[in-house]
Amino acid sequence: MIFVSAKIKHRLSYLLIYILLLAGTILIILPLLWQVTISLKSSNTIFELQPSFIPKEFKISNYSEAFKGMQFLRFFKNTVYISILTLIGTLFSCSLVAFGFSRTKFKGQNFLFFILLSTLMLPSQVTLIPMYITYAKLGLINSYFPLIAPHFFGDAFYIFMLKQFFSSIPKELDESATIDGCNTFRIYWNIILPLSVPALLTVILFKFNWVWNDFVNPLIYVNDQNKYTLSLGLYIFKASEKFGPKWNYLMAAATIMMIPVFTLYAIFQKRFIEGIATTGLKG
Amino acid sequence: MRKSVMILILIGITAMGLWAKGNVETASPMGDEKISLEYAYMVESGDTVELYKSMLQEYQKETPNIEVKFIPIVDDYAKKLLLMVASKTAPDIAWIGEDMIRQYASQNALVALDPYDGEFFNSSDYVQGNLEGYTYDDTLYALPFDSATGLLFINNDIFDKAGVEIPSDHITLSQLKEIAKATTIKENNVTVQYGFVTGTYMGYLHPFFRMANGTFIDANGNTTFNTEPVKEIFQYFYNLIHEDNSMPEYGSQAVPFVEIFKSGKAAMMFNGSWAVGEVMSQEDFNCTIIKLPQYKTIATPAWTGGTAVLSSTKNREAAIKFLSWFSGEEGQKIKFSGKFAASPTIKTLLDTELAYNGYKNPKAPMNDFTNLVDSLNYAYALPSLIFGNNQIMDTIEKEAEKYFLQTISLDELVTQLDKKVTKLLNE
Amino acid sequence: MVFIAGDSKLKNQQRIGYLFISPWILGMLLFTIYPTVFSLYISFTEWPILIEPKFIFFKNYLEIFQDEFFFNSLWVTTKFAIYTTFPTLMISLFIAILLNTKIQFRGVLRTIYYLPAVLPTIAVALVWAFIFNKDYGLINGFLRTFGITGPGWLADPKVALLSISIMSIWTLCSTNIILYLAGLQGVPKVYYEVSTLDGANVVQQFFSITIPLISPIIFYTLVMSLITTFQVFTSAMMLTHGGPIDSTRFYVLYLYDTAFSYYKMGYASALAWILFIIILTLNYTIFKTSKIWVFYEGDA
Repeated sequence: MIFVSAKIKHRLSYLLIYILLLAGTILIILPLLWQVTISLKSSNTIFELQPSFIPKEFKISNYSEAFKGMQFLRFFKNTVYISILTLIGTLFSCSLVAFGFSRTKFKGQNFLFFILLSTLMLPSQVTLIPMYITYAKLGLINSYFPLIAPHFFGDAFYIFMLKQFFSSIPKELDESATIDGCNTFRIYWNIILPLSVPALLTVILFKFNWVWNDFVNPLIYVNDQNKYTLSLGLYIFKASEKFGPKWNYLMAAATIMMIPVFTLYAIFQKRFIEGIATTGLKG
Repeated sequence: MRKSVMILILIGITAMGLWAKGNVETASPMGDEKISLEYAYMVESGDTVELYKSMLQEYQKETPNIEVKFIPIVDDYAKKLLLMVASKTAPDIAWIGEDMIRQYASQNALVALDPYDGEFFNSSDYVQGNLEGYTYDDTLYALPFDSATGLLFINNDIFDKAGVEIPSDHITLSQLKEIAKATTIKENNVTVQYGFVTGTYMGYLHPFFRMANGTFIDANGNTTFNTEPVKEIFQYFYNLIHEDNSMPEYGSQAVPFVEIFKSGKAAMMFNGSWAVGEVMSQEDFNCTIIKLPQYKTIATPAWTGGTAVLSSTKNREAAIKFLSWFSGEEGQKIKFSGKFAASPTIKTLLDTELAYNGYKNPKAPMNDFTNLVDSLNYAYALPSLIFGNNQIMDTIEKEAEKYFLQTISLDELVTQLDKKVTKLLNE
Repeated sequence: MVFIAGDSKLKNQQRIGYLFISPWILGMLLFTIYPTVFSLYISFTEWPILIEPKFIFFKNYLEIFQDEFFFNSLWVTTKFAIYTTFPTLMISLFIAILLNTKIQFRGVLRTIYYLPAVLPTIAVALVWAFIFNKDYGLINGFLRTFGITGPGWLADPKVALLSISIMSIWTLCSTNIILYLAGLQGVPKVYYEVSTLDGANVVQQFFSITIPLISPIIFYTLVMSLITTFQVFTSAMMLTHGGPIDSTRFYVLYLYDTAFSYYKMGYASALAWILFIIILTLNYTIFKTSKIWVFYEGDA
């Protein structure tokens, strides 16, 4: 008797989980669905008193217009180039620095870490001009250097994140490795990194998403239209204040733009689990 | 240990490589005779970029020794130009809005164009009202090269349905109110159709104050908000919104009023002529454009785009030469033969089809542009003392917002405005 | 002798530590020090950007404390940070735990929950502008079917800040869910199995196992949320531009206008440094208290 009721209880709790998640899904999906709906409407049917999710006529042509208007292929290439270099830089530098902060001991560690964090706290609007002046003096405006190079020197956001993940890996592992004759770098490379695959994937995902959609930096440092990124292309549809955005094209372009990041995540989310399962040390 | 050093070196090399790449790309070889100029402009719509390229090609045919590089800027134009000026990498020539002139001119960032008048360009070729916007302290600092004017847009179908005759010339302010009232439809306490829409931005409301002979600042530089004409117009819009419910509530502009009008949910719209293309491009939309209403006087604002030479340029003469061509008759002829949604600023071109060519759509039913061209001729530039100072503008908007959202009274509004704007003017 | 050897080993250890963090140190020397010092200097000047700065000592700072917009924007930002940070934290942790159970379609659901973070900010803002529109918006359209007249979500000064918070929670949750999910993978399942045998229920497990073990991640999201919410800018810039009646004029929005619209870079820099000190103090407090509630396995 007790056994059966436990089973029912178990089933019921899963039902509840499904209901809750489904409700959440609807809240997540609705705005997105709305975006896709707008991207398929003609410009004079966007505003309706009783909003309908199904457009009267499907204007697939919005997508070809968006594709053309944002010069997708050319800007896509630029964006991929920047993204890949940025990701390489971020992964290396952030994991090294995070390891240094969480796994080694040195004087002023806590103080330096707080300095690291505080670099995030000064609004970028005021450091923008001196940054720009520096790059201008070095003749690096209108190159990808200002967009890529800083990522090779660590990013406080991800250093902090990785540090938190590294900290949750038992210290005994390092100790036994040291006894086995591993040096610190080997511990970083052979023990901590493999154990942190989910965290590193998270960094890749977040950073890729950030670079892909970053609009502020390309706008400021890139002058030549041939060097534009996709996010700048997207802004062509936003146009000036007086014209107002071209809603349907913009939404179509935004929908196209989110596909790569989305795909990456869809692939990664499996690895989140596999990454752990294969190491088999913690579970 | 050694490996980590290796990686650090690797990172260093990659960074250096990137650095070098940047250097190679930016350093352009300078010929002995060829003059290289940079021109930054604000991209208002996607087509502009291609159009400007074709204009440049034409120019380079005539003047091969001047090479011009474009820097199109898709957003946050004012900020980017400031960055370039502050870092001493300013372009030689730059697009400039009327609202930027006061700041740039008062800090000597622009080349005064008057000495070159008659030599490279003739200021008398330009529409007077358009030049005013680029004049600071009686000196001309930029040449206007496209303009827009204020118009009243009418949705013909709504007028027909309501049995209102479509006017062809100025209507009066009280007529506007009457028609707006008659064309507003409410269903279950929700306004499903507005009589009148416009931007809730002072730039849009200013002509109405001017119609009533109201000003914000008098000839002596004193503020004049607490005067009958100013109060009357504030009250007029207040009543449209709150008494007649024929105008949308003042507030967030996240969804632009053009969209409301375009989707057939407003009978009348006051907007700049740039919206003509936007509205007319719809094939099944019956629309008429007429001049702005008339009250004690006629008032039609002009919004212009202009080009200025920055005083940091090393090739002043060449820059002004290019500017004069690009903003002059020849440049504008090409510009407005293409699809540029604005009108020329050269008087003679206003008599040609080019005055409205950018708005034309062979498929759209509307093709009468007489009112548009008429308005262009007598449009005035918004007063730069107010509109050239963003902090004053923001202050006025905020106070007006409080009034229209019913948190302060009309008397409080005008007293506050007088007080706050006077303080800012004295800064 | 032994003592000296230990000392040199310690020194060697230290050197390795510094070596690991050297990319960041180098980056800071190259990219951070100059702009930071520069902006601090500028905060003591009057600088209209187009001409050279003029040194005016503490005038900017003194002026700020008489500036009504400063106090207003600080208050608005604080409210926003509170409205956004804590709901985001709780909702995303809850969803992450649900998504970590052995349910079917887990992959699909996880993918869907990450969608909001993938969208470009401009698209998010415009979509929500639609949703919030008083007359033609989704929410009010939905309410209307029940005969309810909804407020002007972005046009009513009493509601606008809340609306922007809702939008921000929508986007922030999805990144936090990912973080918590990644964190939850690190919680050994043995712990749950053992505690189940000991007779602990789900709630007890949540508080005694899950929370302590992912507390480093919770700590991370809390610190980061505070930093980002205090610097919120883009969404307000696009949706309301600070209005109606300054109800969404966030601190950085005011700072931005001061710098690039009013051409008062000196004053803006002073504003930035005050914000810096505020965020710094807040986070310092969190760091100090973290010793009590954040559990690092490495330290155990």
